[in-house]
Amino acid sequence: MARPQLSKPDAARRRFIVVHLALCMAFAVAMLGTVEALKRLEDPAARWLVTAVPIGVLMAWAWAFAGFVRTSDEMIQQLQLRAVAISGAAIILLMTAWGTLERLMPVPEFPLFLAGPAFAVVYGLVLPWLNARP
Amino acid sequence: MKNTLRDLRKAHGWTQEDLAIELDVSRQTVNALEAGRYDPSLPLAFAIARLFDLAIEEVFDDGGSPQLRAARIKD
Repeated sequence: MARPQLSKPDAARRRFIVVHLALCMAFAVAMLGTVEALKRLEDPAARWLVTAVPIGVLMAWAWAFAGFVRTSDEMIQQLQLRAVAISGAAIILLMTAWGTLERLMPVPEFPLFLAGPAFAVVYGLVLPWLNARP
Repeated sequence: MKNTLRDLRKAHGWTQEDLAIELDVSRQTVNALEAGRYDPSLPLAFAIARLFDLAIEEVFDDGGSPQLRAARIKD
C-alpha cells in the first residue's frame, strides 16, 4: 500500500477547509435567495420553509466543524476547544452587556443574526493567538 | 518541556510531515512539539519514545533536578 502524503488529522483539516468554504458560500447564497423569495412568497408555511434553508446550512456547518474537531489530534482538539470557549464566552459577555444597555439606555438594537459572524471574527483572532503562545 | 524531537527526526532523515504520519498527528502538532509549545499527553509521549526506540526521559526533559533524581534512585 502506498504511503499517505498527509497524516489523517492533516487530511481531515484539508477536507474541512473545502467543506467550510462551500458551506460559507452556500450560506451567503441561501441568505440572498431567502430575502428575494420572501419578497414574492405570501403563504406562511412556504415563508417558514424558505427561511429554514440558511438556518439549515448553519447547522450543517456546525456539524462539519464538530466532525473536524472529533477527527483532529489531541493538540488541535485542545486548541480548537479553547478557542471556541474563549470566543463563545466573549460573545456571550458582549451580547449580554449590549442587551443590558438596550434595556436601560437609548442604544441601537444589535441584530442577533450577526452573533455568528461576530463569533467567527473573535475566533479568528483567538485561534492564532493561542497557537503562538509558548 | 524541552525535548530532542527535532534532532531525532532529522537524524532519521524525516520531514515534519513524515513524523506526523508516523505519529498520526497533524504537522502543526509536530511543529508545536518540536518548538516546546505543546507538552504531549502520556500516550503520545509513549508513542514518540517507542517510535525512536528510546525511553520517555531520553526524549523529554521536564527540568527535574539531577540531584533529586539521583537521591530518588539511591532510595
